[in-house]
Amino acid sequence: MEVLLKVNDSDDPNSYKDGDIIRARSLKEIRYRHAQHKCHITNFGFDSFGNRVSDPLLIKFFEKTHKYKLERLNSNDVRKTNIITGHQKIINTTPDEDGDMIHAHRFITSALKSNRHGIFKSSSGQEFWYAKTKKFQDIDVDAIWYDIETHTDFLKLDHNNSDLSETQKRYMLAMNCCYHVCEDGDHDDHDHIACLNCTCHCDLEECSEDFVADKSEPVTRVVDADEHINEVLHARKFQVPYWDFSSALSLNIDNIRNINKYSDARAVLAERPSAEVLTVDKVAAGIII
Amino acid sequence: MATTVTIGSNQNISSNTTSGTSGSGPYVITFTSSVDSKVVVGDIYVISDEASHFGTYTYLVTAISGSDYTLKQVDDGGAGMGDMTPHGNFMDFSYSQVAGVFKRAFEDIGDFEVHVNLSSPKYFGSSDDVIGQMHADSTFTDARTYFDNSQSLSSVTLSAADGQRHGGTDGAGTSQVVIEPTANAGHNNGIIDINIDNFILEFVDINLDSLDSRDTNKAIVFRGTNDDNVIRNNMIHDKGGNPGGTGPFMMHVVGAGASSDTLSILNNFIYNVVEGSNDNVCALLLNTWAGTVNVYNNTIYNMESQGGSKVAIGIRVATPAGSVANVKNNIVAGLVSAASNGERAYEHGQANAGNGTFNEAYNLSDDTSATAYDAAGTGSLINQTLTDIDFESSAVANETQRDAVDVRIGDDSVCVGAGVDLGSTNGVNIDIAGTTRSGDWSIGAFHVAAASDTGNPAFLLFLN
Repeated sequence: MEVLLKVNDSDDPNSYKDGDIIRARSLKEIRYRHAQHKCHITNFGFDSFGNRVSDPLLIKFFEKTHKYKLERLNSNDVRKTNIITGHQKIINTTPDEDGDMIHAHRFITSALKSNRHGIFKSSSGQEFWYAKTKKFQDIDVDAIWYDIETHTDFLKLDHNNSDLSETQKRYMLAMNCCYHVCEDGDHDDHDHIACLNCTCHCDLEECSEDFVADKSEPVTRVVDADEHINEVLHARKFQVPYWDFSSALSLNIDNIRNINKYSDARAVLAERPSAEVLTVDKVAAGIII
Repeated sequence: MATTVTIGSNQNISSNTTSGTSGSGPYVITFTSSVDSKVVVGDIYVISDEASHFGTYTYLVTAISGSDYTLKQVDDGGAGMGDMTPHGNFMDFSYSQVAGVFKRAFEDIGDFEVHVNLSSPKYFGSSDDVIGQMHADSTFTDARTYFDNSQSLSSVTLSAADGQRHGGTDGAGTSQVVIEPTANAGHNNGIIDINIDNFILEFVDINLDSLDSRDTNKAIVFRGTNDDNVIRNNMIHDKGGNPGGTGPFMMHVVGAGASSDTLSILNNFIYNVVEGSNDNVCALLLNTWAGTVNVYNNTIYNMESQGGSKVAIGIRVATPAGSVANVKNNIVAGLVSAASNGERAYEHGQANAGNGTFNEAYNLSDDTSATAYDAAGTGSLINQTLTDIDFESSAVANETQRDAVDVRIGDDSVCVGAGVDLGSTNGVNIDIAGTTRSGDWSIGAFHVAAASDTGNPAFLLFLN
């Protein structure tokens, strides 16, 4: 998990406090974002008829990120394949029993007007395209990276961190962490699941999506149950008190708090500190009431 | 003064070395090689000196004309060297001009919001009209962005870049600007949570499809006075699952507003909102708003509550006395509720007990709406069937069918030409696909020119 922390309190007293987790991203999400860059549709050109070039990497990316493939069979009919189940049916201008229909010519003509269209042409000369993106949890990002490594010189292991903006590097602090599962007998001085930067043998595991999911939530209270209205009490529930880890993680706090200096406290995969130790629930810890 | 800044994950768009400079801040810069065509006004150019002052400077791209790029210095990184051109002042160890990198100004919406919240922002003036222009470099996954304070900015706009707008159909985050969160917003918070005045959100595809197991139940929340907030030309769709104790409300006013405040919700698609466990659903829950709310040209389809007493609401407005709700040219169809009179297309306060003024006309309700909540007023159409409405695709019996829903109307729709001309204030005349309405307006967010407005096809055929 990668977290972006607010550095220094916000100008607005009701907004972020020093150390608040503004944003949390799972490793899967980070890698998927990089994969979207590598396989971005604008990286691939057009053929002489204006169709998108059927580059093998782009086609594989679309196959792994979309639910349906549609292939024009003639002026009216389109074969719709559910990529997940393999189920196929023919649709056209007449609604089928599911109400599914398409005006193929109208659709393709309209789509081709965009310079970001994904209309390809098969070797037999028929257009095909993809529809409806998969839910994030159903996307196999590792498989996408296998394709990227097959077709390019990019390596998945070089894409474990988000690319930060200038403002993120100056106004925020990026850190990352993971689960530490310590089962050796040589670490009696700390908890068996949580150690910050231990020297014993730990199994390091990426945080679950559920662990990541609540890390950027606010603290609220209900003010009108009938109208389902709440009030924001604090911008964030979770923080990382990075100043407390200056020694353990070799952080220069003065540099971090200087907006004229870049800060980045992210570590390589094998050296990431424990997520349970790093992230603090401010309500549970009594920091906010 | 309007200032555009870009938002996108591409932090390495193009690396280029300057070849010339003119002007004295901002500077018109040329480069030794072609700049990638993805670079646009609102991006930044970042360059670091490696030989003498070691400063990292940031310039905002304010204009592009051919191969000339106008760059305005916005940050000297604390070097204290003053305003200076990027050409001739940034050297490598051999005292040759170093290359700089074009980047998006902000990496995600939260990054932009943090900058909006600064009393002394770097990239725009403190009283500017700021336009955050979103780019489809990748899918935006911000779970919740809270615009809580815009300091002294005149206005804040969050908009999809031209050529990357949805056009009325959902799509991939690299083809069009999509916000598709994967994490919790926190129950009863909005993916876009607004507590500032003079805010515009436009042309964004907000896809809740990856949130079935999350607590997010609201797409847009209005939390304060929200005066002159305009939500237009957005798609909000595909919320399933059971988010928690409150059902899904796609736009919800939780602040009161004041009698002098105006909120406008124009030309949006809201569809496929399906509650999983014993809760109400609502597309536009605006009834606590105490000011004027304009709800024009929206299309709402397939709102399904779950539970014997739970209702499905299209638009609920005008509870407080003194409030004014202007509701025109909307489609509400496909309401599903097990409760008696639970299908509520247009609701004047809770159970029609509102005390505000409800100006309704030229709306459409379909045959799922309970009679008490049908469209009313001049020009309204009631009890319409899906065949009458003629959505491009409307089957919703299962997820596969919902995947194909397309609520653009066809040429044969009863909505074509059945609406009323509402002028052009706040871009109300621009339909969800970005088309300027002409002739007789269609009801709903997607405009189809009436045959009477496009000439006589038979006559044209005869001429040919």
